[in-house]
Amino acid sequence: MNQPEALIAAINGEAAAVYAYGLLGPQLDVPTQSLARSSMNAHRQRELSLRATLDAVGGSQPGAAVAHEPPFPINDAASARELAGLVEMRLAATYADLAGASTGSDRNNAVLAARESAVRGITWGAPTAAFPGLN
Amino acid sequence: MEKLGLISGPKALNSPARISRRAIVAGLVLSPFALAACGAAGGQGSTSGATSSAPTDSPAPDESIRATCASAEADLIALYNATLVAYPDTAGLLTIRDEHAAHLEALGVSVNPFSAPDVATSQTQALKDLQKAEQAAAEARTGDCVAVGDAALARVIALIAASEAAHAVALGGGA
Repeated sequence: MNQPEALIAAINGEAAAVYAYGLLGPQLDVPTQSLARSSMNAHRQRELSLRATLDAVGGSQPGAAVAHEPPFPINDAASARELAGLVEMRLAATYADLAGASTGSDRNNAVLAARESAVRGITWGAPTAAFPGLN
Repeated sequence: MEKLGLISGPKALNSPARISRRAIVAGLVLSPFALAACGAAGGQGSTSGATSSAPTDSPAPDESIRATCASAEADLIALYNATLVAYPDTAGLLTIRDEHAAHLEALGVSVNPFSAPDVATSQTQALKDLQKAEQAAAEARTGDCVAVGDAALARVIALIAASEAAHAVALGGGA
């Protein structure tokens, strides 16, 4: 995977995360909703930053986000938290791919994003993992 | 509609979620031999590729960093083992210790001997020490990841950094 391909995968992953938080947020109690909102905003910022990097390396921006179907029904707080944890852990793995495909400060940013997603995954109750998002 | 788990994109079938630990390990074991090819394919060629075949002088930078990472993992495993001996009922430590063993396996370097670290005389302090060690490891691996030339090794070190940052939080520490 070259850097533009990895950037596009990460952009799509961030868009999927934003979509997931929109879907799961309403199932949470009000104090937890604010955590979902701040997570969603963080993902929006990451997506913008990735798009800027993609421009800088001369890649073409991916098309509009597609609709996403959650892997299980989101109908209560527990399933909402589980989806948030899953999305964050998988995004951590996507950012590890981007780290591999990047160098220098772009790679540094990708590792920091991978760490941030894995940490957020734990906050939502996901289990620890040797390779977040892969096992 | 697209399954959320399968992050959209051209590489969906090769998404990271479908790659087994065996595949990661296999990729790493091969990586010293595939280093030049990886660099060319990913457009990420670095000077380290040119030096990797030289048998003289110090080890290639990537191999030196790989050894540093493996040694750090062995130290963490030793710290968890010592903590588990002192406080055998501490929930979750065994799982995290095993995750470090998986990191060490993925790095493909055998490390001997393991250190025998001291453990704090209070369980609360011992857990804080583990958190601190995980956080420090996540920071160190972040720097190592940026420093390596090989893309596959960088990816695995990035996963290890993310795992260790998450461990620190799971143990009750800060991000």
